[in-house]
Amino acid sequence: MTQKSKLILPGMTRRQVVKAGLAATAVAAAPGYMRTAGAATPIKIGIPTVITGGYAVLGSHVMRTAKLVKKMKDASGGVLGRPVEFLFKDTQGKPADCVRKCQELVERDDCRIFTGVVVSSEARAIMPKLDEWNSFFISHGNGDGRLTAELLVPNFFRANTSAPMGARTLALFLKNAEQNDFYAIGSDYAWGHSSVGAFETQIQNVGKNFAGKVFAPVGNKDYSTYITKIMQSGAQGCYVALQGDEGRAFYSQAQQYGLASRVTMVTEIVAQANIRALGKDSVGLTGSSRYPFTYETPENAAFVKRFTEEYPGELPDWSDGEMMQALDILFAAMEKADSTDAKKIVAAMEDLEVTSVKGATLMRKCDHQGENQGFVVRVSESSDYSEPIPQILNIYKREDVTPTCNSTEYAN
Amino acid sequence: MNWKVGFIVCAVAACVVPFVSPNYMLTVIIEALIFGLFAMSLDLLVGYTRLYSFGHVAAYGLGAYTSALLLLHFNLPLPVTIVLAVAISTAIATPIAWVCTRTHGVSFAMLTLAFAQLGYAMIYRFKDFTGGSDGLTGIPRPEGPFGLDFFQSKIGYFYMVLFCLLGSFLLCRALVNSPFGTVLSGIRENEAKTAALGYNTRAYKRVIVILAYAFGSLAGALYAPFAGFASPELFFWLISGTVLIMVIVGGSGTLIGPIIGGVFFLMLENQLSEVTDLWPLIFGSVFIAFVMLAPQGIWGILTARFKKPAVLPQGGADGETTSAPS
Repeated sequence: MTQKSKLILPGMTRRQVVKAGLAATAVAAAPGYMRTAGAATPIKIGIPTVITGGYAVLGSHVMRTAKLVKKMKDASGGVLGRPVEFLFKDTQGKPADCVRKCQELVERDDCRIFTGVVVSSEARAIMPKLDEWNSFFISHGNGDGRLTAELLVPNFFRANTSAPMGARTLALFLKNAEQNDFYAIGSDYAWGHSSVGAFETQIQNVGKNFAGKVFAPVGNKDYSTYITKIMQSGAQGCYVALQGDEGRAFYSQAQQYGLASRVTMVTEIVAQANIRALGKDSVGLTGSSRYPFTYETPENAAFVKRFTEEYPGELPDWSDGEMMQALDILFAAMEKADSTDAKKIVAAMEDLEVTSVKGATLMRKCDHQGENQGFVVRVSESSDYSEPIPQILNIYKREDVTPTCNSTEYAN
Repeated sequence: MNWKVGFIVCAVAACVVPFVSPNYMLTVIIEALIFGLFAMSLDLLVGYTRLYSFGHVAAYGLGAYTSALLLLHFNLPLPVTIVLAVAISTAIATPIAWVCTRTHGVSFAMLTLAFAQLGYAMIYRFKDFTGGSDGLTGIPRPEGPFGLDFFQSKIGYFYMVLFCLLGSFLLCRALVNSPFGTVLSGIRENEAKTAALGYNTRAYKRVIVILAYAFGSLAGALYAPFAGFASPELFFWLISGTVLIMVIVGGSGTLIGPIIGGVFFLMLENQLSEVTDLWPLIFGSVFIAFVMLAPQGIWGILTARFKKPAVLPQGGADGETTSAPS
């Protein structure tokens, strides 16, 4: 049965008028709506990090700082007026998985900015693919010195202190130490080799003897044979380049075997997670620190305050501070470029200087390495905290601890 | 539906897939096809000869590392590199096959596992050459031969993988349907009886192990340039376990079943890992379900659905013969 429609305008039925009205409203509202959508579109930042596996504690630091930064940024109007969205992926510390997860981020989520990669060999695996993916990657903690030397690619920057920089800082400090012979133990992958290699060179440059080195497989749990080797070497000092579960296993076994009382242990990275695991046994441990939360600047004080409010009972570790700095630098470059495009961020970040939780850092144009200050700390007890903390012994200027361009070597 | 219709449907789907799939899905599909090829190579041992290899990952790792090293050091055209990688891996597999086939049953499984672990250890031992735990990075996909750059694109790579998979399938199918394949089936059912018939069963087993390594290494040789990376995990025994599950879930002794099993598991892993971190638990449950409820695997379920029912002879139920579809 058909029904005759009423004409409410000349030549138009009521239904046609309503449709036309809706269409006109949509057209009029569209530009405004689209502007709002554009403003609300989040900036996606991929965090392919270690959520499970031996370095999971480092991944957990990356994630908690990223979550904190998101809150802070979103509360202050975002970046480029847009909210920040972090996409977390578990790489388990395996380079192959890291490549796969990054590919997933690029192709599935259209996310082309990465940070938070924990293991240097993971960083090495994804770097050659950055150009193909039209992506940008800023390292927050990858230490392998070669990443900003022979392995450098245009879309990669390193905001953090590298392994050679940590070793250099420590060597400068040990120049006047009473110990003369040093042994070294490192994890058998890119960062461990880079750290031990740099320490071997640097400690000899300051006139000390390098007694030998040994590398433990990734994920190793039993360090008894390595501890025996260190004892038999007769060295008075031992340089340790172990992180995560490996570091904690080594330090606790070194205590059990009495190594700590016979040999002065120095480390490239003094980590709060290790201090917490060792408790009072960690007191006296000396080493370089990529970020000591006890560094007194207004920027760092604000960060530590916000961090401890957000995570009661926790203290920022080196990887929290490095992550915070990397994100500060990344956002500053985005604002300068007024874009999230990889190529534009690269151009904006070259020779960019940003003051963050570790002081002023210059992102060198020549090799994309961030010039960072070098910290030497000693673990001490403090009445202000329930656990031992790193007390700063010395701070070295960034030009003294950063290697020459495109290199892991130093001019003097 | 006969196999010709199925083949035409698959061929049309294969032609269309790269152009309609989202970019990331195409990546997953290529990896799934490579794993399908790898699973099929293991089926030659498990399904047709009842040789349970726990170290088939050695073939995959050998192919991957050989192609990666050839591409990094010699920059040969991609198809040439893949052919060379398979040839070198097959040559390495020959003495391995010779040693492994001196044993049976569990001993064979353990020996294959030992050789895979040996490969894994050697990756760490010769780290200047293999990259150690860092692996080999920046593996290129050079153009050529004759300036062909088709394989450098993802769609081109998809067709190359598809070509290798189809070619391998047809070769394996011809092999298992040949008199050689009949002897393999004899070994699978009763090796002692086959030997009593005058066949040198060890020689047959040696050849099939070498061939399984060749096809497995082809999968590895295709994987490394696609991922742009080779890591020690490509030699790790866990992959041997995963691919064995793919064969069983897909349907062993069918060639096409393991291909389906490989594709099924890769896609399942991809989808589940997006939803939950507990995807390995679901993975395990799926495997248990197949073993308990559908031991013939996915291909067994599919073919049972399309099988014609057995026809009794007109003489009645007491007749002596029944005809079953071939």
